[in-house]
Amino acid sequence: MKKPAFRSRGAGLAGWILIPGILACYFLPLTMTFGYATMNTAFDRQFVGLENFRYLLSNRYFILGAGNLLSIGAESFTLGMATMLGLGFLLYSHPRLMRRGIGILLLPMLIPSVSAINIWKVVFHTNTLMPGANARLALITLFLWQHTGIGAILLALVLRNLPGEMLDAAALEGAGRLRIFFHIQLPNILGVLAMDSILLIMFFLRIFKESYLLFGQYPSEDVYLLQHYMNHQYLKMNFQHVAASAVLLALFACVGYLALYRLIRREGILV
Amino acid sequence: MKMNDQNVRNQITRAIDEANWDLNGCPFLAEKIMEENTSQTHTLSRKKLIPMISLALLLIVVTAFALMNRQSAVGAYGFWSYEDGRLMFQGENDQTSRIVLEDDRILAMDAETKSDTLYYITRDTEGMQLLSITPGGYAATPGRRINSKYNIQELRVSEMANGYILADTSTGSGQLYQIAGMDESLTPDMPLVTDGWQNQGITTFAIDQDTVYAYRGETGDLAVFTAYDRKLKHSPVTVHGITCLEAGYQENGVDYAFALSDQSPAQLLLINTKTGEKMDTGERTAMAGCRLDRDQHTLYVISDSEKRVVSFRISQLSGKKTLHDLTIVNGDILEDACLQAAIRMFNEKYPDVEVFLRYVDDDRIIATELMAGETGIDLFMYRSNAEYITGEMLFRNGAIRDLSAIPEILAVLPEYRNIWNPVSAGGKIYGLPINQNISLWKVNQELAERIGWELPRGCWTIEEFEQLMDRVIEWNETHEDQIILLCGETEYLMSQYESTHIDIYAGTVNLRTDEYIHLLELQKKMADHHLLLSRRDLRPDQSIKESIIPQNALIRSGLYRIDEENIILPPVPDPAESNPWLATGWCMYVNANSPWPEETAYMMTCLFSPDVMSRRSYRDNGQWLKDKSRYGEEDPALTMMEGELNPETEALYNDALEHLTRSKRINMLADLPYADWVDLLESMLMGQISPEEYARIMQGKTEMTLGE
Amino acid sequence: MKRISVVLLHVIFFLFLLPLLILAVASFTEDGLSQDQGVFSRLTFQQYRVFFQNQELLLRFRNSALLAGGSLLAGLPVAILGGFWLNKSHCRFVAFFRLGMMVSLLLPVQSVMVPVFRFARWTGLYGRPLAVILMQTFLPLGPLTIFFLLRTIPEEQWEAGLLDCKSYLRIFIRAILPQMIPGVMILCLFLFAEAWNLVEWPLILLPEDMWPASLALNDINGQESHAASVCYCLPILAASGLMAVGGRKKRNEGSPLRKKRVFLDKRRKKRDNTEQRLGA
Repeated sequence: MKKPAFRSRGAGLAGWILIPGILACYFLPLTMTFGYATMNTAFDRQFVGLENFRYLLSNRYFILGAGNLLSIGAESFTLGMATMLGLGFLLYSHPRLMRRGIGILLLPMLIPSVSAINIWKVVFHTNTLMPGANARLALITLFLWQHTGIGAILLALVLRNLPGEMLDAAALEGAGRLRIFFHIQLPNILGVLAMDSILLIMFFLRIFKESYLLFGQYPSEDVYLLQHYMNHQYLKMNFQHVAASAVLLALFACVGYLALYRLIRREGILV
Repeated sequence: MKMNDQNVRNQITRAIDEANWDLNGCPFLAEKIMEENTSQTHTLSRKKLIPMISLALLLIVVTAFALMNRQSAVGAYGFWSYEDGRLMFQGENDQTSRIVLEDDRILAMDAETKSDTLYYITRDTEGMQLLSITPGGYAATPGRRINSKYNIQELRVSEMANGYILADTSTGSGQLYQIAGMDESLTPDMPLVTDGWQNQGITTFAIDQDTVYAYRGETGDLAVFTAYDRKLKHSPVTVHGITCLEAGYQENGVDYAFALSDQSPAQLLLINTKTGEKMDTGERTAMAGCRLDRDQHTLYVISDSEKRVVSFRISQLSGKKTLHDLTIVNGDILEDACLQAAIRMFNEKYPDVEVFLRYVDDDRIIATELMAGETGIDLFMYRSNAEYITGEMLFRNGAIRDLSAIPEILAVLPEYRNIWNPVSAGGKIYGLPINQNISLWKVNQELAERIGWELPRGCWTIEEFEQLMDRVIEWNETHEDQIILLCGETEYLMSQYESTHIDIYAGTVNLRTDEYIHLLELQKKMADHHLLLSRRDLRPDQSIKESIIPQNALIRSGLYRIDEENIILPPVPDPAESNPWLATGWCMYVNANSPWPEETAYMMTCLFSPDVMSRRSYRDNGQWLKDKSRYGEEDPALTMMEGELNPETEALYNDALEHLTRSKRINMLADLPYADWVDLLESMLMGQISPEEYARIMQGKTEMTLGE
Repeated sequence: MKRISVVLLHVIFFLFLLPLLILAVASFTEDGLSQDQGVFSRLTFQQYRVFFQNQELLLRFRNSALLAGGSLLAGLPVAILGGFWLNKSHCRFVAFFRLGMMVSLLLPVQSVMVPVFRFARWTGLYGRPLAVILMQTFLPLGPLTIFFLLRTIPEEQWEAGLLDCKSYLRIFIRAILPQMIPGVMILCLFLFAEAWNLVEWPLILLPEDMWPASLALNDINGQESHAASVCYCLPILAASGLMAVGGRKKRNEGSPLRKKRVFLDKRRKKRDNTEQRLGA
C-alpha cells in the first residue's frame, strides 16, 4: 500500500508555507538569471545560446578565478573540516568549558567583517599588491577564524546527544578510542558533518566581502577568486556573464552534491 | 479578626496548602488568595495634584514656545529650520535635522529654490548683515551689510545675488526692495517702484527666478514684476481674501501664483495673475496662521510653528497632466543655471513630462537599475570617480546611447570646438562632458629667471624637460638654495603615458615598453636628486590652494583656471601626438534602455544646445563654443572676487581643449587603494623594485581590469 | 592528556577572542588601529562621543533592528516548519527542492540581484522593508539547518510518538522540537546575525533613509570607526548572552513538573518546621 504523503493537514500546511516563499524569493529569480545567461546583454536581451559560456570558458580571468576558488576552497575546506572536528571533540570532552565556549566560538561569525578586517590588515600587512602565500594565509586564517566555530559547536552538541551506553558498551568490549570514534561516533555524526561541509562551502563562496576589504577590488592573481570576476562583471554591467558564471557554479554544485549524496547513501547514511 | 495579622495568615495559608496538596492543584493558590484580600487602597490626593501641575507646565511651555523666534525655509533637497538660536538643516533623505550654525540673532532667512544654500539676515554690533550658508556650513558668498534703515519683515531669495526684502522704513511700511546678495556697493538696493504701482502697504510677496509677485492686503492689489528690472509684466489685478502668496508656474505666457484664503479652513488657491481669477485646487488646511513655501516640484504648507504640515506636487495642483517623469540621476553635479535652462527648453516641447533630479551615491544601485531596465534612470552620471566603470565600457555593452546618432546633436556640433575626444570611443560620442579639468603646470617665474629658463610657449617635449631637469640638478649642486623641480601631481608624466597607451574600448594596454621604462627611470632620477615634492608632502597651507607654489619649487602640476598666471602646458613625448594633454571630469550618459528614447534624446539635445552651454562657468571650463560672445558678460562681482582673466592662459587653455585625452590613471582604473599604490611607487623610487617590475605590475593590473 | 586539552582549549578560546579584544581596546583610543603605528595612543572616550553624536548613524541602527527583528520573527517559524516538511514529506520533488535550496545558498548574491530587483518593482515591494524581510524569512539556510538537525533524531522517537498521536506535526512540536532547542537557539542567533549584517538587499531594494547600519559602517573611515564597530556588535553579543543565560536557567530549573514538586516539598518542610515550633 502506498504511504500517504502527509499524516495530517498540519504537516501539509508546513510545506505550503515554505514552497511559495522559496519559489518567489529564490527559485524564480534564479530561473530569470539562467535566462539572462543565454542573452546578448541585459540591455539587448537577444538570445545567443551558449555564446556567453564559450566566452567565459575562454576568458583567462574566469579560469583564473575558478581555479583559485577550487584551490583556495579546497585548502580552506580541508583545514576547516579538520579544525571543526578537532575543536568539536575538544568541546565534547569538556562539557563545562563547552558551555563557556559556545558564545566565544560563535562571536567571530556574528560580528561584521569590516570590524575584524582592520586587525588582519595590521597583522598581515595586506594590500592589493600582496602576492603569494601570505595573501592566501591571511584569507584562509580569516575564514577559519570566522566560520569554524559554529560547525564545531553543532558537532559537539550532536556528540553529546549520542547515548552514553553505546560508548560504554564498546569500551567494555575492548574497543579503543580510535575504534570508538571511527565505528560508533563518526557514522552517527555524518549527517552533521554533511551539514557542516555545506555550511563551509556556503561561507567560502561568500568570502568576497572579506577579500575585498583585505585586498581591494583587484587583488593579486593568487587570491583572485571567481567572486571577484562576478562582482566586476556586475559593476561593468555584463550581467550575462554574471548569469553564465552562476549557471556554471550551480552545475558544479549540483554535480558535487550528487556525488556526495551517492557516496553517503552507499555508506548507508541518508542525506 | 484582621486579615493582616501574620499568624492568621499563616493558618489560612496552611489550610489552603493542605487542601491544594490533596487536590494536586495550582502551587501558588494560597499566595493568590491572600494577595487579593489584603490589597491596599491608594490615596486620592496625589491624583488631583498631578493633572493640575501638568496643565500649568504645559501652559508655560506653550507660552515659551509661542514667544520663541522660529523660522524655516525650503531648499531644493532639504528643509532649514531656525529655533532657539540654532540653524538646522534636514536633507530629504535624512530622518532628523542637524545643527549647522548657532546664532541667536537671525532676523529673516530664505533658501534658494534650486539649491540648498540659505541666505539669512543677522544682527551684529554694527547693524545687519546678509550672509549665506550651505548645509555643509560653508559660506556661499562673502556677505554684505544691510542698511539699518530697514525694519525687515521678510526675506525671499530666488538664486544667488537675486533677492527681495519686505521691510518698513522711515518712508513707509510694507515696502519691497531688491537686494544683491554679493555687495551693496556694486548693485545698490532698489525699491520696487514703477509706473502703475506704489511700493507701500505690501502684506505678502513671493519670487521665483524671473518673477516677483506682490500683494497689498488692504486693497487686494496683486502685481507681477520681472525680477531683474522690476517692471510690471501687466496691469495689477484685484484679488480679495488671500493671506499668503507663493510663486507658481508659467503657462502660455501667464504667471500663476499659489495662495491661501483667509477663511477657515483655508483653501489653497491658484491665481491667474493676469485676470485675477481664483481657482480652488480642492486642498484645504484647518490650521490657522499658515504660510506657503516651495521647492522646484513641491508646494508646502508651513504652520505658524514653522513645521511642514502638508505638501503637494505642483504639477498635480496645476491640473497639468503629467504623462510620465524623466529622471536625471546625479544631475546636481551639472551647473544649476545650465540644468534649469535645459529643463525649461525641454518642457517647451514636452510640457507633460516632468523632469526630476535624483541623487544616487552607490554605483551598484545605478548598475542594478540600468540592467533591470526599470524606470527611474533616464540620464545619469556616476558620482564616484571609479575609473573601472568607464563610459567606454558602458558604451561597448550597449548600456548607454550613441549621442552622435542623434541628428539634433550632430547639427549643433559645428558650433563647438572639437572637445569630444575624452567622451568618444570608436569614433562615436557616448557622453556629454560636464567639466574638462585640464592638468596644467604653473611656473614660479622668479625661480625660472634665476636659473635662466625661458618658459616654453605651446608644445614642448620630454627631452626638453630632461634638459630642464639637468639644469636644476646642476644648480642644486653648485648653490646652497636648493630648487625643487616639480611639486603637486608629480607622477604626471607617467599618467600621461598610461592615458595615451590604454585603450579601454578595445581592451588593450601596453606599458612594458622602453618609453614607459624610460619615464619611470626619469621619475626615479628626479626622486634621487630630491627634485620632487608630492601632494602628500606639501604642508597644509601649501596644499589648500592649487595656485600656491612652495617658494623653492619651480613647477607645480595641478588643475588651474584661466585666471592664473605663468601657466604652461606639460611636455609631451611626441609633438605629433594629436591628443596629448590630460583632462578629468564628469560625464553625463543617456540610458540606452530608457522607456522614453525620444524624450531622453531631446533632453540631451537641450543640454548640448549652445544656449545652455553658454551658461557654463567659463573660468572653470574654458571656451567650449567657438563664438565667445555667446557667453555674455561676466558678473562684475565675480571678477572682483576671482580676479581678471589672463589672456595668455585663456588662449593656452582653449587651445588645449581641442587636444585632450581623458586621464586614465592606472591606480584609479584598477581601483588600487591609494595607500597601496603610493607604497608601490615609493618602493620603485627608493630602488626596492626596478622600473621594469613596476611596469610589469601595472601592466598586470590593467590587463586584469580590461581583460575580464 | 586531559590537562593539555584543557590548556589547548583555553588557548583556542583566547585566539578566537583576541581580535575582538583588540578592537574593543582600539575603540577607547584616539587614533585607533593604524597600519603605520600599530600601537595604541592614550585611552579616551572620544570615539564613542563622536559616534553617539552622529544622528544619522544612530538612525541606521534603528533600521538594522527593524530589519533583523522582523526577519527573525518571521524567519524562525518558517525555518522550523520548513525543515520539518523537508524531513517528513514523501513528495517526489522534495529532494529536488532541497537541491535547489542548497544551490541558491551557494550562489553569490550578485547572481540574482537584477531579477530580485525587477521582481520587487513588479510586486510593488520596492522601497519597503517587507521586501528585505521576505528575502531573509525564506532564506534556505533556516529550513536546511532544521532538516539536518532532524536527521540526528532517531526514527524510533517518531514511532514512539505515533503510538499516542496520529499527527507528525504534533509529535514534532511536543516531543522532538524541545530536544533541538540548543540547535534552534543557535539558528536564531545565526538568522539574526545574517539579517543584521545584510548589505546587498537593503542597498538595491530600500531607499537611503531606510538603509541599515551595515551599509553605513562600510563608509565610516573616521574617528569613530572602531567605536561604531563595537556598538554594532553589541546587539549580537547581547543576543548570544541572553541565549547562554536562558540555556543555563533552563538547565537549572528543569521541567515544569519538577518545578512544582520542588516548590511543594519546600512548603511542606516549612509547615512541618512551624508546627514543630508551635508544638514546642
